[in-house]
Amino acid sequence: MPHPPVISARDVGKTFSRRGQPVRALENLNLDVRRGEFLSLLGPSGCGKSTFLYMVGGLVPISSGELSMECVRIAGPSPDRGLVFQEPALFPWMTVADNVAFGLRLKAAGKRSEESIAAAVKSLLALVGLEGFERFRPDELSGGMKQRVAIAACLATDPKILLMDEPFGALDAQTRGVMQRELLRLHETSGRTTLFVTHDIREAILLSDRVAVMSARPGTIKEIVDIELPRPRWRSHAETNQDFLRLEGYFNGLLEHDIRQIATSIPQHA
Amino acid sequence: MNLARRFRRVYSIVVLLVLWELAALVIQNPLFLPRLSAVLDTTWANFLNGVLVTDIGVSMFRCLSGFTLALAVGVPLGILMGWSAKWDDFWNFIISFTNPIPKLGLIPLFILWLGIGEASKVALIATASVFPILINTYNGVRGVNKLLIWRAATSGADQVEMLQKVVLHAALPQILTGARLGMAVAWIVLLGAEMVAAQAGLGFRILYGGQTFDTRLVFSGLLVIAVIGFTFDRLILALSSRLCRWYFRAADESVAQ
Repeated sequence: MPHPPVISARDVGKTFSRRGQPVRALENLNLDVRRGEFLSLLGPSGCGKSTFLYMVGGLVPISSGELSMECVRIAGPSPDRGLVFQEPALFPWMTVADNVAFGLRLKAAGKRSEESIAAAVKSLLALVGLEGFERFRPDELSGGMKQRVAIAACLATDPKILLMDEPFGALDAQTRGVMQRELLRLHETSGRTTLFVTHDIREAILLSDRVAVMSARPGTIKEIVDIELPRPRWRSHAETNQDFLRLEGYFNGLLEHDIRQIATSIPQHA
Repeated sequence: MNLARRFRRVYSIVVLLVLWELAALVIQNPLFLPRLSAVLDTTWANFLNGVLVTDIGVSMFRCLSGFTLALAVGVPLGILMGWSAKWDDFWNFIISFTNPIPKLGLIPLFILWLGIGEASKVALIATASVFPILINTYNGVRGVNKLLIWRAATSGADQVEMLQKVVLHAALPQILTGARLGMAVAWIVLLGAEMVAAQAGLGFRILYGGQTFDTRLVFSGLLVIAVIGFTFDRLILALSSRLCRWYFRAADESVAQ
């Protein structure tokens, strides 16, 4: 018997009011995130993809429809659904080690000895390539290193699904490339279910098992595309692999229509 | 801070004191403006005969008791108001209405309610000092980066853990700024507190000097309050830069000079 989807969204909608006018940010959004898969939400800025991710994270309530995790309705945040934000969300007064250990020291994680926490921190930092940085402070790290710490902190509570909101969007191109490669490696070795938000077509193709393309105003899933490129994947595929290039052209076509529509529509939030 | 900058800071005070001494020498009217050296003489004499020590002890007890009470009320209430919309809705107008009330105008009421002893004096100081503490705490909590709250929430923090481990830390720089302002206000209203039924205290001594045309005594009291107030301010500042190193490092980076 197949596993139920980790995340299941049925006719999810989000309406909020802006200047007294209701704005439909999301409408009739249907999506299943399968166990172990890497699913990307690809769409233009303002299509509501991050809003949807925060809904899955339990940080933003849904207005209509049903959103559940393993058949249980999502009512709030939970360490089962770890979130990595675009800006690395690190506590500036804590060392790298304390940041990573934050979730492990909460009551929700159960009583754990400091030795076991220190060991966990050590192996998590090794996993993201930051061995020996335990005693550093966030402001002593580069943007890419901060985001590595944020990812390690997120993995500390061993979430069933990893939610990532354009985690490499604020990084320079070189660092982004390195981080994408490491996330690939991390996913291919751990097989952790991942829901990844991006507006970068190449990033989506490179990382994902499936890509859900979103359209804007109101945001909804336009098409779900299986990425059947063999793994392990390499960033160089983006330049040379014919299937990769074909997919890139296809996504470009899907998104172009939407971007043109947004560019000519009256901005709702001006 | 480098040596040159430290020197520049002290130097301004020295210039002021020298100007004072020179002005008094020119005016030659000790009732109008006594010389700094004469004021220091009076202060020293009062120190030797024990009057100053008693005054400082009595006033410091009043100020620190009032300030501690203000902290005990202002910080928790400010955190709750900044954190919970319900608490904010209930208290916001009450605070905004009562903040501009001149606290010295409460003296007759506190005397009626609490008598002419220490209680009314401490209550006055606490009432005046609580506002800057509360308002800064409130603003500090409201200004906590939402990402940090979300990060804690998705890590599994409950409400108590959120306040203890995230909000209190993140707002600590503003809370301590509030404490600095509150401490200053405590010394400012001290004189009002010692206006009625006081036998000792720095504020009482200033008023006494005024009534007996002893201008040197007035200046002596003012000077001592300034020095003590300054010392406490620096103590809180030192505590703040110790506890909130992360905050000051970030501030150093964002402002070049």
